[in-house]
Amino acid sequence: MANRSTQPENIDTHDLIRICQEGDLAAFRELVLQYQGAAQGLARRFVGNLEDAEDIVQEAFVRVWHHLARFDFNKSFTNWLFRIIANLAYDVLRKRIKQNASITKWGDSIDFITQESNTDEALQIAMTIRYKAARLPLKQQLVFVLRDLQELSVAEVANILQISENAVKVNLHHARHAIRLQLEQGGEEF
Amino acid sequence: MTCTEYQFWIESQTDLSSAEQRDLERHLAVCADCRRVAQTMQSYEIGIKALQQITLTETDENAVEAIIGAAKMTSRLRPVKQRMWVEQLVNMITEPVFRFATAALIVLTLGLFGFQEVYTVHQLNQLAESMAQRGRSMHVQTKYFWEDMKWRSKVEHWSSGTQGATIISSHFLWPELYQRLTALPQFAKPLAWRIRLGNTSSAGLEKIWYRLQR
Repeated sequence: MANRSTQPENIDTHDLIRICQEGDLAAFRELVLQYQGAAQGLARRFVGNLEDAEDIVQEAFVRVWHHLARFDFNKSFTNWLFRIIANLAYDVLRKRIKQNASITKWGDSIDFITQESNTDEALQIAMTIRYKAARLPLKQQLVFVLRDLQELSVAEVANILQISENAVKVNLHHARHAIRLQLEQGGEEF
Repeated sequence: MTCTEYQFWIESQTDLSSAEQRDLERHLAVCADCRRVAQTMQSYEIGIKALQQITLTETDENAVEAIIGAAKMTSRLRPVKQRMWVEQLVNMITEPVFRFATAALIVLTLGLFGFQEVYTVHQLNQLAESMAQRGRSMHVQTKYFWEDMKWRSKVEHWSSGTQGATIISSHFLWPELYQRLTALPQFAKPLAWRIRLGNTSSAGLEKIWYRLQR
């Protein structure tokens, strides 16, 4: 199953954006309809719980609406949208750290995983990975989600996060190394 | 090569040449530590697949409408109007004719004053009190409020209030919500409310957007 945006960008997307730039809300609704699912999925992979993910997606599209005039048609709309989402998710995650918020915000996703996972082992491994990933430095978290969960290329991740490809590789390696050590130490009780 | 380097290959899932792949396989055959790392990364892949099942969600129509509403709202922000609008609005809503007014009439009338009327939270409180003094219920449905520059959507149920009471939703009474608002650390930030105003509990009342600021 594809984990990337399901909406390949094509001339239709750009045409839609041009109409939106004229203030056409109906066109904007169409744009939102095309990308809301992908945006929600990514936001949820970043922050875990549905409520924060919905807030992020709403705010992201509002920002898109207000900044469409600046959209560069030589760039990818998907990457632009994902960049906004990543920045918003970063703020949420940083706030959680300050508030010492626990990993339990991922709790509402456990039932979903249980329905789909074939084994308890897969579930346990998944939650261990998520547990550790949520405790990584924020940059590593973002890279981990975009590269390993969203399966974007190194180049795309670099573009979205506005960092070098080498920085993506370094952060990804650190993230995987930390998670691997956590898996070897044993998972947490959830 | 050292085990550290081999383990780097394994964790990074580096694309290896045929020669490098054979080299790695020979090393794994004799090194328990690196085999352990490779096995753990296989488990890692299993866990990642499970996590990926929180996949692209289907389009949520309600969420889409909320986004459009938010875009509209932020496009329509206006400065605070004079206090007279509050009184005019109260007088208009409490006129007996509006007791049986259709939604279209209400929309048209309020449209004359603009959909983007802006009231302070305190003025809304006054509006509610004025309504109550006239023996009318001010029915208010909260849809969105904008706290700390982030939208939080709370879909509340429309509910009718008892005579003289001001009901925000099935969860909040206006005085309680008012206290919550004033207690917000970011209360200095603009708050945006979507509310319905009317003197009946008719479901036909149009939704009107208001921006409130301290």
